[in-house]
Amino acid sequence: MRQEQTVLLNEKAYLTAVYQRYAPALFAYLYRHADSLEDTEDLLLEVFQAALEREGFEYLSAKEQEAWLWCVARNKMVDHHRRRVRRQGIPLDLVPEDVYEPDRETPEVILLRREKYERLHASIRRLPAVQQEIVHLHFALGLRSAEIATVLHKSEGAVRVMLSRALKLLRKIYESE
Amino acid sequence: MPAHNDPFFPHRVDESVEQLASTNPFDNVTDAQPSMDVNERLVHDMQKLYSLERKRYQRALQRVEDRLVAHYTTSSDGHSAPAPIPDREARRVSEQIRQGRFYQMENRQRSKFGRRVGLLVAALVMVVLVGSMLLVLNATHQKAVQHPGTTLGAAHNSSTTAHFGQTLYTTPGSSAGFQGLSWSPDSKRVASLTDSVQIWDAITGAHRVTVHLPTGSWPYALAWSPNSQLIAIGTNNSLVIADGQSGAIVHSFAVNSSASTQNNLSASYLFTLTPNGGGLGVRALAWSSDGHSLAISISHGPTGSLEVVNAQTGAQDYTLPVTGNYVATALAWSSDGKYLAGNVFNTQPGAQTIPAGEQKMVWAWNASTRQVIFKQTGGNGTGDPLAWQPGSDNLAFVTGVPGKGGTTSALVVWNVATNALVKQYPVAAFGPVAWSPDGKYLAYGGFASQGTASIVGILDASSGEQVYTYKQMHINISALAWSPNGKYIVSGEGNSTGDMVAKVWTAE
Repeated sequence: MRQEQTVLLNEKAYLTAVYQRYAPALFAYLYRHADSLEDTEDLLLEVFQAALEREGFEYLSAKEQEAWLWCVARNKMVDHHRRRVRRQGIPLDLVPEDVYEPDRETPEVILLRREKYERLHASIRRLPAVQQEIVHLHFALGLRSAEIATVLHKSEGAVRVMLSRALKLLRKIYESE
Repeated sequence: MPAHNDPFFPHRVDESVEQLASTNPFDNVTDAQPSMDVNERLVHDMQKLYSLERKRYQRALQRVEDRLVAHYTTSSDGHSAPAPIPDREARRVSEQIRQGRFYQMENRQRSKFGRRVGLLVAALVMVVLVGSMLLVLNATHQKAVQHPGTTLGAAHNSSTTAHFGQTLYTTPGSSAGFQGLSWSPDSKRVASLTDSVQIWDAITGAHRVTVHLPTGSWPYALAWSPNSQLIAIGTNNSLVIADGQSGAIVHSFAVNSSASTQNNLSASYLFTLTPNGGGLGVRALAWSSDGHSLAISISHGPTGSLEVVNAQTGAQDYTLPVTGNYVATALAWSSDGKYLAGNVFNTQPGAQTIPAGEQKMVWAWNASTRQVIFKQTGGNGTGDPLAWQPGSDNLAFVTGVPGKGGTTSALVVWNVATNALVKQYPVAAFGPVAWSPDGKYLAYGGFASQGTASIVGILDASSGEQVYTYKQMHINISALAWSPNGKYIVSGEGNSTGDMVAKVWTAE
């Protein structure tokens, strides 16, 4: 038989490829709903471990794999919140959003000492909340519109329009210079 | 700015940002220059503003990937030590088990089962080890006496399947597993592709040499020259030709993945936007049967190209078309050199415009007209995903077929020249396929026992009857090759302690 054909995705490489394809968007989703980066990492790991435990995951088409991973991620998030509620005994509604805010902002603070970025940052803060979120997902997590759409439960077209609007608004600071 | 010229127009906003960011990868964002236009400055400043946060997320994603891989490589087999999951994680898992979370229970049951099977196989391995020398000697002796020069088909018809599956030797792989195992055409040496390239004596497993690739290069693909003297190795940045005996590098041709692309965007994709499965460099190669040329698949990230180059000089002879965002991860010439087949995959993560049936495909090109003549869904990229039946235009690969309760896998054989389905075997195959040199038998990596065991099945190609089943543990067969003299099969698999090993076993 011919020996030329070579293999590129053995099992581990296949796992890595699947991970790298879907992890960023799942990470964004989990991070958006979990409390901390540490919890997000644990949850993301659990999602992929569940995929490893599912027999014949490799058989699924890419779309089915994606849908399956998202389904697991959503269930994990529900579990996570239930657990958290049980552990801490605090209703979710009472957990102030901004408790976790400084964690997200810390790295930026360093840069914000520079006036230019301060102005840009201030402009981002003035954007509607959903546009801020989209800009954050696009630039900080590197997601494309289609992936952002899945994370935010919106259509891709809507995300593109909002990202487009946000960038055009932000561009105004440079145009007015 | 008129809407039709605006780079931030909704339908191309993603692409524009990628393009504008191209001069400044995220890893190393410099300050915006006053000479830049407003769009470019905005994208630069946004990159800069988010770069630290982005790096933090990248590190987090990498940490999870490392944990996942570590967990996977130690837990793929129930017999091994627990995965290195932090205490916190272990507590959560045990808590979930207490709560009766279904999948964790399943996990626990499976690990019990795995432990039992592990012990059983460990015992079997002991028996095989003790007996293997005698068996091999005996088998060799019998062959010499009873079947001098018999073909595989004759051996099967005349006597016995007992000659299947006797292990000659087991040789360790690396934790990366085997991405490729390849017999030299004279059946004397085996080359393996793990995180390095190693070559050893095919019958004894001894005299192992490692090809020392330049620092910063890692191998993706390998192929023997038809005269068994040389091996070609495709790496992330070059095409390396090495001596098949000594492992010394004979030639090295640099491949500039980004410069040779037709698409200027390709070098500029951002971190997670890069189609990560694509990688860069030479992803697959195949040596023509006359030894003069090599077909190489070059990945530029989002796009791929296919070149046929002179094996002596590295100069390009011609190219074959690869349209759309596809990269070939396996290549093979038909026996007569008329056709080149490739397993291609779509590199656009999350692209919802790509139908499921077009994510992974098997394509074939006519080498003289340089046209794509065959496109079918299939080949999952794992193992040796496609194989030409020797002496024919028939190509075997794994695909999904509609069945009860969704898609099921099947092994199919297509005639590429006539574009006709020749055979379809309804087996639970997942990837690697290999023909016996006489084209009568087809070996495949698959599942048995509802997916709890991984096997190599050997089918009689004409009747579809499974003539032999070589059972393995949980770890899937990652690579499979039938020796050109028809006597042995080498398979990359996991042993009872979860380490990846290559086994050479009899197959006649």
